[in-house]
Amino acid sequence: MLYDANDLNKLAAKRRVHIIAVIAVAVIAIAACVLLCVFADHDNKTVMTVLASVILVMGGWFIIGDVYIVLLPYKHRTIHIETVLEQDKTTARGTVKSIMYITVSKYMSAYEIMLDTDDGVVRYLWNDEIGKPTVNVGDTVRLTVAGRYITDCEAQNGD
Amino acid sequence: MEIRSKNLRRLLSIWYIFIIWAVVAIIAVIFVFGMRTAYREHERLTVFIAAKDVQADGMRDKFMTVKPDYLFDVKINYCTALNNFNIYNASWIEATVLGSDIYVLPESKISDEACHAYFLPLTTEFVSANFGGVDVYESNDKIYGVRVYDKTVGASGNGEFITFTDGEFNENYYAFFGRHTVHLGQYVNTKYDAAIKFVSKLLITVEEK
Repeated sequence: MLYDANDLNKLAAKRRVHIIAVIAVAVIAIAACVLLCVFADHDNKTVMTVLASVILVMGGWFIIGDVYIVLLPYKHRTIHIETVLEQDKTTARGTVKSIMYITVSKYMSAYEIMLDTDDGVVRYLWNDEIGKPTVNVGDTVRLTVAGRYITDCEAQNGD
Repeated sequence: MEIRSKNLRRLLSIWYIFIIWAVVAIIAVIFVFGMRTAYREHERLTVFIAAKDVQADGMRDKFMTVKPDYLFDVKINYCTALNNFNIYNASWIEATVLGSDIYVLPESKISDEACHAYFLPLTTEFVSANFGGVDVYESNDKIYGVRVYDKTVGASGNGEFITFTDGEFNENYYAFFGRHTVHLGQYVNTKYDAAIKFVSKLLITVEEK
C-alpha cells in the first residue's frame, strides 16, 4: 500500500522536527547577532556588521525556505492523505502508456500515469511524496485507486 | 532529483521574498550596529574652520596626542572657499546642522544672527580662566568668541595648521563654541573639556600657569 495511516504520524513527526529546527536557527541567529552587537566597538564595527548581516540573512533564508517547503504544505498534505485513505478504492487494469511529471497544485506534484484500459485511456496520479513510480511505460499493471490517486500498484506482466 | 528540483523551483518562485529579507536584515543590522557603535556626544569633538587653508589631518593628529582619554574622535570640517558664497554657505549649513562644538571664523563671516542662533555666550571669568587675556568677540553686549588670530600681529603659535591670510585677505579670526556643546567642562556642567583643550592647545598660545 502506498498510502498508510502511519503516513500522517510520520508527517506530523517531520513537521515537529522542522519546527524545532526553525526555532533553533532563529534563536541561534538572534543570539549570535546580539553577542556581536554587544562586543562591537568603533574598531571592529565593520567586521561585526558584516558578520551579523551574513548570519541574519542566511538564518532568515533558511527559515523562509523551510517554512515554505515543509511547514506551509503540511496541512494540504495531511488533508490529501486523509482524503485518499477515506475514499472508496477501485481497481483498474491496463498497460502504462506514458508517465509524466506534473504540478498538480501549489503544494503538490505527481507523476501522471496514462493507463490504457478496456474502457480507453485513463489518467491516474502517483503522488511524488511517496516516491517514484515502480512501473514503466509498457508494463501491464493492476492499480488500486482512490479518486485519481494510485494507492497500490501490482505488475501483471506475467499474466 | 525531481523532488529536489521541485523544491528549488518553488523556492525560486518566491525569490523576491529572499531579496526583501536580505535588504531588510542588512538595513536593520547596519542601523542597530550603527547606533550601538556611534560616538556618544562627549566622545567626539566636531570643529568647523573657515580659513584660507587648513591642514585638518595634521591638526587632528596633533590633538589626538594631547586629547583627553574620553575623546575618541576629532572631526574637523573646513571651508577654504571664503569668497565663494555658495560653497561657503553649504559648508556653514552643514556645520550648523551637525552642531559643531567649535567654530573658527574670520570676522566677515560672523553675524549677530549666527551668534544668537548657534554660539554659546561666554563669561569673562570663563575666558580669562581658560584662555588668559585673549581678545573676545562681543555681540549685543555678550561675549561669544575668543580671538585666535590677530590680523595686525599675525599668527603666533597657532599658525601651524591654519593659514589665516593670503596677504590680500587679512581679518581677525575668532573661535566660538556651539550652543549645545558638552565640551566646556564646568561651564556647561559636564566633566568634558575637550573644546577648551583644543582651542588652548592648537589655536591660542596660552601661557601655562
